[in-house]
Amino acid sequence: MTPDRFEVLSEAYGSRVELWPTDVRDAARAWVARNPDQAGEVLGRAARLDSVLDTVRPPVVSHALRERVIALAVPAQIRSGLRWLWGAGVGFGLAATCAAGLVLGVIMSGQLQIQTTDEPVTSVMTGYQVPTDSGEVFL
Amino acid sequence: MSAQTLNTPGMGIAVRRGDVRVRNPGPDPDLDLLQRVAEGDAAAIRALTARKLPRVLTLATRMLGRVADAEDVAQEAMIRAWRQAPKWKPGLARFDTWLHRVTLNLCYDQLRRGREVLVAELPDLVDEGPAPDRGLEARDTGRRVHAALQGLPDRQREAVTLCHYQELSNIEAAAVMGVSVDALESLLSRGRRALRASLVDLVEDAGGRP
Repeated sequence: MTPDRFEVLSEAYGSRVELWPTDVRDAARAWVARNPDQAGEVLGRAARLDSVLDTVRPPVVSHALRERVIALAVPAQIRSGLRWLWGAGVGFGLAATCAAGLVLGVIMSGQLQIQTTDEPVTSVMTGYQVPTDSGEVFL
Repeated sequence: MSAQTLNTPGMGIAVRRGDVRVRNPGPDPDLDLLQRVAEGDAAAIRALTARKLPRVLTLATRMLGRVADAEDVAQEAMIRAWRQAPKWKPGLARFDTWLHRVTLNLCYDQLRRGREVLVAELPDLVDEGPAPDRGLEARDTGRRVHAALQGLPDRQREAVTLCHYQELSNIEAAAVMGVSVDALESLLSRGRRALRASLVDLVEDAGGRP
């Protein structure tokens, strides 16, 4: 722990060393013990800001809000459960549809007849000059 | 979307869209309660509400500034918690960390919708209930701090809120924000410096207090 690091930590986390990161607390406390005057000055500066920030008290939860939140607990869980059931239902429906399609496809494919016909191969103009019996040349 | 693992000494943080995972998150103090909530235990639902709703509402209020908006966000975050309870998988993250991420996502949705309104209006003051020991001066100070927080860039306000007001560890806060611990530290430093500058008179006065 250096003086600079101690000051940086106090600027970030305030005067209460118990709220500083766990991995620096012991080193910070040891530094305070070794440098009480310097530490007192740094922590005092941070404490003055802390005390001003603490003048903003936490809001009071109104009775109406608390009762509303409690009343919504069970309906929210039921809705969550229904949403799960709905999702599971949709999933089941999709799976059933896919399975039915697969079965139908297998059945229908067994009834198909394979038809093959020998189709004449048509010539392709390649630019090759073919002489006819009459001696004419078709391009 | 694949998880993005951030460079965090000693502990990896993986962030997914709408999800937050911390490697070795440690024991989750909410787990037992959460399991009972999943079983529909009415007492557990009340207990989890008592434990989490104030934290969620505080986070939303700090982020949004307006109580009405914060209450809407808090209610929606808790509804999502109820839905999540039966599906919760222990070991990926603490429930509290996940709930903070959900709340922040909702806050950012709200901020996107109402950005111009937030800038134009002085935020509502939170109803802090009867507090006879708190005079007008303290209330004015609170109002100024509240306004100064709202004046911070979103990410700096988020960092200060998570670490100072919600008291999350740096690992948890970084995981919630989807940044490295170094980046979190930078956001915190800049945020606190900006607050100190805008509240300099109050900070100096605080030095004179007994």
